[in-house]
Amino acid sequence: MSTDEVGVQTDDSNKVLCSRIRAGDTDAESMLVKRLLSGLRLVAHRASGGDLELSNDVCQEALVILLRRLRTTGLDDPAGLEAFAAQTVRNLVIAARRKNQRQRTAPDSEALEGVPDPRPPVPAEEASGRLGVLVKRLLAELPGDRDRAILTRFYLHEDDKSEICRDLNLTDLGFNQVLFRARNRLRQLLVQAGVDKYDLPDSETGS
Amino acid sequence: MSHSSEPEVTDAATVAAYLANRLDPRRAEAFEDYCLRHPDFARQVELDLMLKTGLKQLQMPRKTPFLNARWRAGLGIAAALAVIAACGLLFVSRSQSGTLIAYRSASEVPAQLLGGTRLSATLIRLRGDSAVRRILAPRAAGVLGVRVAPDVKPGRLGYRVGIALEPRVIGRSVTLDSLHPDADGYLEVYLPLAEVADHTLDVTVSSAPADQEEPLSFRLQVAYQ
Repeated sequence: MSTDEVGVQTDDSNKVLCSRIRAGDTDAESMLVKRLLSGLRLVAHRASGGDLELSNDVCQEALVILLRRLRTTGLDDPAGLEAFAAQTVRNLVIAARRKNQRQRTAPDSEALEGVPDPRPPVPAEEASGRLGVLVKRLLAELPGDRDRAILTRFYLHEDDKSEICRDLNLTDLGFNQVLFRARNRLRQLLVQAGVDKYDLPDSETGS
Repeated sequence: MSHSSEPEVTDAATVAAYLANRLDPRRAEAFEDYCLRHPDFARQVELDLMLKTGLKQLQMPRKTPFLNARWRAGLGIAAALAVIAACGLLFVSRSQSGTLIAYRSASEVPAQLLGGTRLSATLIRLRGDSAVRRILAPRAAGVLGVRVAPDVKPGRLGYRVGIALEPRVIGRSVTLDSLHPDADGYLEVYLPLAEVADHTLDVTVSSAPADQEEPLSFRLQVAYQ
């Protein structure tokens, strides 16, 4: 699949894609999932307040709902495919939250009591901070302290890019190149760690 | 076709603000809409999110590498002042003092705290109520999620949540700014249970920047079962 096939969306491409899925084209289904997955994970991540476990569950469920809909009745307005998918994710997060609240305590109860979250603990692999381990490896591989400082200040301390460039005497391009290399290396490390390539963001082809 | 204003959405400052959850809900949704229509850009943002999450899991010390000479000198003076202040406090009280640790989202919570039973408390509509609510935590729980329903409109930077361990004079405290409610309208922050157990917490919620309104406040006593 070329990058162009999953690149910028147009209303026309949505219409064609929806028609192909309704006609039973499984390649079109794969293409749809690849197009939407990263964006939906971002939607779910924010809607769930950063709950990785819930985000992943909700994205899978949303894609199942979307594909079932496209295989059967389709969408009245294929141009609204992305908005429909995003709203499905948000609704599923709300539903999951409400379900959890019902199981924990009445949401409008003023009598507060401690109730363990009924959700199972985060799977051990995820809870072990696998991303942290990979990022630690990535940091160790960086050629110098400057690159580590850039990543730490930008991502962890949320310092402004211009402030970092000024402090470290960096050009805009130099800053972008450090981030570009870090993203691609993280992606390689994730693949090596056994994360399904299909489930990962593509590598960048330029900075 | 572009449904969002591209230059605004894709600039580094907007991406950083989105990842830090500092965009207001309308702009955050516009950003997500753009991501859904531009999958390559979404993948880049997702890798940024992974890097950010991984770094938070490592909880690296702030700005220790790469300090220039002026910063080092300033840091030296600050450290000396901190030592003097700490010594002074030791004479005044043996209570713990300093910044309390709190996390803005579940993704920021260190993995070792998430492994056990999860505990969550929901606080709503308690303006003017000074009663202490009590929460009993299982020993296996590592983190306490505190969900608060704000009752005022958000400010330009969303909401501010302050958490202080009583007594407040030399107690420990933390303030989280630029918080935005989840889809249900709740703000949620996470506290390491070991830090707050056997204490009474004073939780305040206000818009950010603060307006003239008295902050919504709660008192929450945390103890192990």
